[in-house]
Amino acid sequence: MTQLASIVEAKFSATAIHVGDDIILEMTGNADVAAKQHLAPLLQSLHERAKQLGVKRVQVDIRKLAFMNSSCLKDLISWLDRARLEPAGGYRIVFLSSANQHWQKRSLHALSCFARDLVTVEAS
Amino acid sequence: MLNRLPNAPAADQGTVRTPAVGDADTERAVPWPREADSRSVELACEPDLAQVSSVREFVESYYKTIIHDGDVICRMAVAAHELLENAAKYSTGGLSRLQIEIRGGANPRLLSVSVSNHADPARIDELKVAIAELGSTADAAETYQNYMSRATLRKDGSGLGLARIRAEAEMTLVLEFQGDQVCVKAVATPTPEEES
Repeated sequence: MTQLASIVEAKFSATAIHVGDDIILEMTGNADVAAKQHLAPLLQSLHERAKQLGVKRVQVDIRKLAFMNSSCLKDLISWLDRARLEPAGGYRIVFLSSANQHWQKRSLHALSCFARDLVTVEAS
Repeated sequence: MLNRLPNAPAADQGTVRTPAVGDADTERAVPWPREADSRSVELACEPDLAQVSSVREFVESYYKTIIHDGDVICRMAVAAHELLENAAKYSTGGLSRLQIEIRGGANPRLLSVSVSNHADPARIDELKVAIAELGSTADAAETYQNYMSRATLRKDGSGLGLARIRAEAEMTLVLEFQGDQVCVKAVATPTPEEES
């Protein structure tokens, strides 16, 4: 296991690790203005690392994420847009969500429609 | 379940309204006379992006003690957060006023979230266009996808907040002007069939 990134703010944190064929990005807290300054560069960096490492999947674990604002959603959308332009054989993106965080079902449905062939949503 | 609290008919899903001076129904952005089963929150604050999550968390906590429907609370929270962020970004100063009303007690049948503030005149035309576009669409989800595609091309801001309220929270958007204040109101109401 290799740690790729770690961000700690008062009400937001994100860590990314590389394990086998996967990169796992876990976000917790509130993805709002405090997260915004980090998210776009983090996702750009993970996109590059995913290509370098040849991973099959990037798992995005948001089960402990209380909320994500539309500015941060935009960063996810831009990442999905870049990832779906990769040649066939690129990585897939799997969102791990919580059924208790109702906003996640709605937001992830919209994201999965945006990149239908790229995104999988798992709820627990 | 995504449609537990449906929207108003399509014709009403995005309007721009300028009330007459002294119009009692709209002066304080209260959409309907309050009823016994109504639970309302009204909060005025100087908008600050860093504090929007705290306000959202407060109203979520408040309504969780009354309403045992996490989906309705989530829709309220999305609308409150996005409207407050818009106020924080575009208000020209003074207090912004958040008003929330949920009717129906434990089984909500009406949800209204509004934020009023002094708005930058340069943003008002943009706001009118966005609300008119979101109101005229026959398919809010498809329009939201278009907004997402546009967002990838934007350098500043996402432009997604109102479209998110319309599509994810499934709420009607209304724009009202009250003197030098602009009020954006998001509303979800039951259809007559579901009331019976």
